[in-house]
Amino acid sequence: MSDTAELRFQVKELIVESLNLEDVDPAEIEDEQPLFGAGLELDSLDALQLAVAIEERFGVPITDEDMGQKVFASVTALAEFVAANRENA
Amino acid sequence: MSAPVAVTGVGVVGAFGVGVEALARCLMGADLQTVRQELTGGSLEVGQSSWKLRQHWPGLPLKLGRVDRGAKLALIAGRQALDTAGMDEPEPAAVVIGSRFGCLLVNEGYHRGLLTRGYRRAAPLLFGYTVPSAPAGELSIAAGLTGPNLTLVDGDAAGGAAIARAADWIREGRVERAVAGGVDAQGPWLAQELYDAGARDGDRPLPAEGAGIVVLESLEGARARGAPVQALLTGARQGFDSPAGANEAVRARAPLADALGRTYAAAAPLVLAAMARRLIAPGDFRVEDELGHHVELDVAPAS
Repeated sequence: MSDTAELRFQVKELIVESLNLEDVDPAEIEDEQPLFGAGLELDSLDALQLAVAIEERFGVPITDEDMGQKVFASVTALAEFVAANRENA
Repeated sequence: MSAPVAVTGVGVVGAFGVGVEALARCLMGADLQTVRQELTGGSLEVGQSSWKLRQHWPGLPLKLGRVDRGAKLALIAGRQALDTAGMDEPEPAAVVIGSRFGCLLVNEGYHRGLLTRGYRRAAPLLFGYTVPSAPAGELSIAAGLTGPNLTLVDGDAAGGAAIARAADWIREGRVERAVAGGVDAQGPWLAQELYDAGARDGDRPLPAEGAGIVVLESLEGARARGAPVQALLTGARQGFDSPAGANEAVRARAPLADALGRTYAAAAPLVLAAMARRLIAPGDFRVEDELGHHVELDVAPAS
């Protein structure tokens, strides 16, 4: 598994773990699947929880709503955001 | 209590597993499922079975299944109770749930996060469950039960007290039906607290989690809708006696309750469920704890 694919999987595992999605297999979350609205049925409270978990796990803060809307668009977007900001840290 | 109240639905989950059949196997001698918690200063075995909520509530929306462990226990037992009572649709039934530990496990996790990681990393999803009424509320929401909703936190007697309160409401005509029982979850923090208070491996009953939930209704109402009357609750009393000495364990408990582990507020509802399903003979029983809380339930077979 490439570093990028590995990071995407870590993000999926974090989503399942931090949002208490006990029935969801991380491997079944698609890379480009929207995280909020349909599908995983996540909402704004989940966005807050996920932002907390991302900062806790990867040391990357999501500081405002506009940034959140972009990085929570999909697993790919979130993983790219984490990779870019970890490198800048 | 004057007029008997009918028990028409039963749901159980605990270290014995999920469902009345698992409860029956345990009462016949099957081992409890346990988890070893590694703790500061030692370790402690606690009774806890493994399950996934939505396997026991088919069709439950994903969002409604993402609740704390205590609420999950209540939902699993509640769904069984509703199914056995033939309650498939939303209705104005009451929900009354008792708990000894309430939301302490969730509170500990939430506040530990605040203290160790700071307010910016407080867990918003945990915050919603820092109230002891979460199990009763989530059961009401998931099943569409729109009647009065009450949570009692009153030691080991709380589950039996919840049943007594629900029976009073039915007898007084406040509600036609009630979903009532007790729930207490286990987790590492609680295991540490129990260990620090002197609990050790090999103690019996071992600390265990569980939920017992029953559906209660008037006998006339149950017969009118053709509900299966499984037992009659003919009396209920609760109260508080000062224990004989500080920290002295009082062990006058219900028949076979200890076989399920010490299930705290779930103990009385689990015994009532076992009697309703004739796993043990119906009769009068008492649950009390070392704090002096006690509840007595009088149970008769359905004629």
